[in-house]
Amino acid sequence: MAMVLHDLSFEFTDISQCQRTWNFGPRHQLSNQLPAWAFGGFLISGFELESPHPVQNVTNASPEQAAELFFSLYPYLSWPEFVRLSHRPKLAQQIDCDFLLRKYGTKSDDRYKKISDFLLQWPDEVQDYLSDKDLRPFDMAIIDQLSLDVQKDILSLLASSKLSKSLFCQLLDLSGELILMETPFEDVMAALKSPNALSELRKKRFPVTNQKELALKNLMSSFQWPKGVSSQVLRKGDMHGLEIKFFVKDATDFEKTLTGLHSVASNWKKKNEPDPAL
Amino acid sequence: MNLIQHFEKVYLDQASLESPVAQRIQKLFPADKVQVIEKPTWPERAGMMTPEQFDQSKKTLFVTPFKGQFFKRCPGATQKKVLSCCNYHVLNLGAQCNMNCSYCYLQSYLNSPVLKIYSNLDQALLELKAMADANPEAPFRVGTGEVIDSLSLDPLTLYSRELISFFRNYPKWTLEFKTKSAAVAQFLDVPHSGNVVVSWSINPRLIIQREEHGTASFESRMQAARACIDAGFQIAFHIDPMIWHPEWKQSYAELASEIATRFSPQEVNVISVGALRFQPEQKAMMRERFGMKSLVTSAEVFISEGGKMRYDLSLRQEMFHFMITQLKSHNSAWRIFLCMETPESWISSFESHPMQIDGLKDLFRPLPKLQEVSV
Repeated sequence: MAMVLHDLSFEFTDISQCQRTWNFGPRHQLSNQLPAWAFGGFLISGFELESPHPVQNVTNASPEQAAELFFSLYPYLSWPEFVRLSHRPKLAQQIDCDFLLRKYGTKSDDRYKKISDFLLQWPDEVQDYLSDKDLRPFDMAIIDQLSLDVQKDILSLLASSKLSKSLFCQLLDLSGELILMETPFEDVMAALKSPNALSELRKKRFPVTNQKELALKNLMSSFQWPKGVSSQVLRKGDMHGLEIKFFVKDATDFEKTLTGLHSVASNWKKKNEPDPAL
Repeated sequence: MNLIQHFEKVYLDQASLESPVAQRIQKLFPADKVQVIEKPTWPERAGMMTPEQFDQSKKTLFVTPFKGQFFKRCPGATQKKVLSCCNYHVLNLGAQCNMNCSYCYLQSYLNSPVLKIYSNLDQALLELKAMADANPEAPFRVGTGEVIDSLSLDPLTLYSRELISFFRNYPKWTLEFKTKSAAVAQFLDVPHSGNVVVSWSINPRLIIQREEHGTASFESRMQAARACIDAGFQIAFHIDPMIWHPEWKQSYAELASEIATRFSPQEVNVISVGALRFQPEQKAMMRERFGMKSLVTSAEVFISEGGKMRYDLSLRQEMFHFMITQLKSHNSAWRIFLCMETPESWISSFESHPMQIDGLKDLFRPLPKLQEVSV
């Protein structure tokens, strides 16, 4: 890692290192996380992360050139990091942020701008979580239909739960829709706090599919499964079904297991047939 | 719908002024609504529109020549690995719709702030003629209702008249108008060679009232269909998208009964059946534009193979099976097929693939690759 500073027209009396928040604090030990440097609030240089190429001085660069340089320095920038960058008045003046956003493959439409404005009002923990999970405005499109207080409450709870990105999106969407359907806020929050939050929320939002899935689960657990077989009711995209795993030690064992499975299949079929008494 | 009142502003591209459609629109609309422009005054949009922008785009008409290729394969046919599709081709003579269905896929497809009518129909017909002359024996089906309703703006454009006349020269090709309007009077007197199908996207009355805003009523569509039969045109129905709601069985049973009592299978070219589907990004737009009381949000949707959001496969199969059974209970001769569905859905609904069903084979048989021609 190397750094070269070109012809600066000022002295190094007020240099600072950029943090992930784009807040310019006092110079600390060099970090390779986001090693941008600033002077008087202007970005002036940074380190190339991938190769030891020197970094350019951008004080005299055009906003578009500065964006190009910035992109070469930080080819992966999270949405919150970008939003914080583009909302620093002096930095935004120096860098063409719309151009930079396009370099990151994102289109700046009105929805993006609206949700980005909200983002700055969310707690730091929420912003950091969104950064870590690489969440984008499209992943949380429902958020701008909720009031800021509700946004903060739900997002803080979800971010503190250390969820996967996929689960975060599902829980946010379900809880947001329930609130829009006028489900009491306390009920939604209680479901979100439950250890089985996804199942609790789906029960409220989509009772029909939830009941069907539960019925299949109950039916499967009522069957006598052969020894060594494990079965799990699960969803794959738009299909809901059964995943079966088993281990056999030899051909006889295999045959025995298949016979047992065949018996489960027959019972399953019988349960699906309409009751002649009805 | 009164189209003159509906459009708040009409822009005519300078390059379209000589076209019959631009001249007709200038005559029909009050002068203060019409403005001639050299190039669009609105900015190029990036990304999806907001609900307000999308609503406004339906009320702003722009008449302009189309510079691309008019004639294309239906998007379903390009996903042959995932879907069983019916060799449909589309001729796009505009983009956006003056009607406002809550489930409309244009919400995630368009990003133009105007409704476009393409003024160079002559160019489209030249393109079509070159294709048809190169493939006169191939039974191509050409629809004009992919990104714009085929007929709802036809009282303004009168394009149907030209297209019907054009298709008289190509009796093996089929022209299909697909609409949710009742605008047919403007072409009923045009001589044709029996290869024009006027089709209606149809749903139960409840769905039309709650989800298909600004469209013709159920009754008006049925009357328009009868008028087309009386004038010798073929008709078809697309029960698509079926929308799950708590009373769906009752609603769709009534729909089957209404169709069966008003028409015979001999009068209806085909009935297609499909279920709600949309791109993931459309969900937010539907929610914002139509709220949580819209029936399109009633049932859970999941990402399916091909990337679209759909109902659970078993629910779709149940819905298709129900609809087909209802129709067949009135008369087994209906020709029914599934639109944009997977082979699994076909086998579950018909216990067969379309290529094994008499009456559908011709629709689904692979066609020779279109001979590309330059116009």
